[in-house]
Amino acid sequence: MFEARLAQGTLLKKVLEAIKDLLNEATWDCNENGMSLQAMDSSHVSLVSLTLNAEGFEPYRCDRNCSLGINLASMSKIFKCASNEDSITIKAGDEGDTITYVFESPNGDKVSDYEMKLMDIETDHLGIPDTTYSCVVKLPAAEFQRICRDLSQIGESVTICCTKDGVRFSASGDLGSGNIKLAQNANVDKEDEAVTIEMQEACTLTFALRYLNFFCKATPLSPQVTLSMSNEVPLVVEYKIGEMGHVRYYLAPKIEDEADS
Amino acid sequence: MEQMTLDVGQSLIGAIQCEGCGMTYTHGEPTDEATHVKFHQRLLSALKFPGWKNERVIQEFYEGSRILVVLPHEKLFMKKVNAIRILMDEDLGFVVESKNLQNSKTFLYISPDHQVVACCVAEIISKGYRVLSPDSSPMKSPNSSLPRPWCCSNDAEPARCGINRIWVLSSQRRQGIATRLLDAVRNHFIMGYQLSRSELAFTDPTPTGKLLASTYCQTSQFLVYKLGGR
Repeated sequence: MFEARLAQGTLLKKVLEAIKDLLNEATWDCNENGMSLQAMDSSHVSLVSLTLNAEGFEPYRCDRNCSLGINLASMSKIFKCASNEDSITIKAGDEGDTITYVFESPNGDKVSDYEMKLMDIETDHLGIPDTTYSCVVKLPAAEFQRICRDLSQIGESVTICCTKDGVRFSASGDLGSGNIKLAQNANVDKEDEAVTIEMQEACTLTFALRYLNFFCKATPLSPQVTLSMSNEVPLVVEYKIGEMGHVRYYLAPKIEDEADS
Repeated sequence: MEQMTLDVGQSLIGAIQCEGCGMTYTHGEPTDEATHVKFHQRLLSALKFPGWKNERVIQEFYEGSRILVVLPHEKLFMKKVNAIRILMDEDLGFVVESKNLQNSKTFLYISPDHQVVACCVAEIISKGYRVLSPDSSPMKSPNSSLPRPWCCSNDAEPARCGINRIWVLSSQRRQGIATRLLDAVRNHFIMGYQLSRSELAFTDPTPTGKLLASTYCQTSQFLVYKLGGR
């Protein structure tokens, strides 16, 4: 028996919005510590790793570990039926191939429940290597979303160049080129608007904006986003989900074609 | 710029081979995936065989497979045979379209799940030429694992049935299907007469075809003949 209730149902709705465009279906792994999900997009260019700790739910009950294969598009459709103030409860029996979502209004006079079929998804165990990154940039999530959206008008990839003074995003395409530079600023009053850079070594990397724009769908989850980079390794884009977990996106870089150069 | 992909130990990565159609393609590469889907569909639709009302079954097997024979004047049936022939020719590497199949019989092997999995075209011939064994061949390849040039004798020997082409779907090989087909050809090619294995001759075989021919004829010096000339 698995049961998890989240008073702030809107958080789950936002989580779904953040992953449903990148992944069609995924397996949620549930154990006593919480719910987690790891999956790659169909082209194997990006990976999503999502964790929701048990402490965030009230109550949380997981008698034994289970894997729930879910069509995320369908799940998101059902979650659209919940109001932002509703609490969301997820239930799944030990046997059986369905999952139930219960939406309750704050004063408890409206209760709706939806049942959905589970899927059999073949999953591989994905091992994400631990890496120390040479640059870790924290910036306001809305700012990052704006940068990705603006630069995708110019070109299809963005080059992120991180130095001591700041971080520069640049793109070029048929119509011209564009650069956006953010300087480091530690604003004590407004923590959410700070741009901080922790750097061992300068690095320059290029990524497809298409995927970054998918990642930016997680912007409503968190005021700040963390970009971790090292030369020639995948980028990590992390959004904290309040106190209860995080969603991390890994993105393989674009590398200069040896044949072309 | 080239987009990299992630390798975190997933099972589907890089070049994979489709179990259904045998095509090798790169997983996650959009053009490759699209080409594969197209090829896969075309193959499956050509191989699909729901059955004919007045099909000529010459042999049935206990597990549900059967062998049919199609004669060249059966126009409607030949349409299906021609679709299979195109696939078969691509697979075997035939470049010339052989028009003259008037004296041939086509044998189709149908699997229990309604698919054509093997096909053999046999024709009437009068003579064949014996393959020279590799030891007597003047050209010795230093590496014996490589396919080496091989040749046949100039002296014609009598033969009755030419295996114009024989093909088994790549995923169904090594199950004795070709042997069953050749047995059926020997029993049913000439009315009321069972051909002996030594009366069969083959057109220039592929490496796997050569293996089949030498096993089936129980000698590496089986008979060959030239496509088109008889």
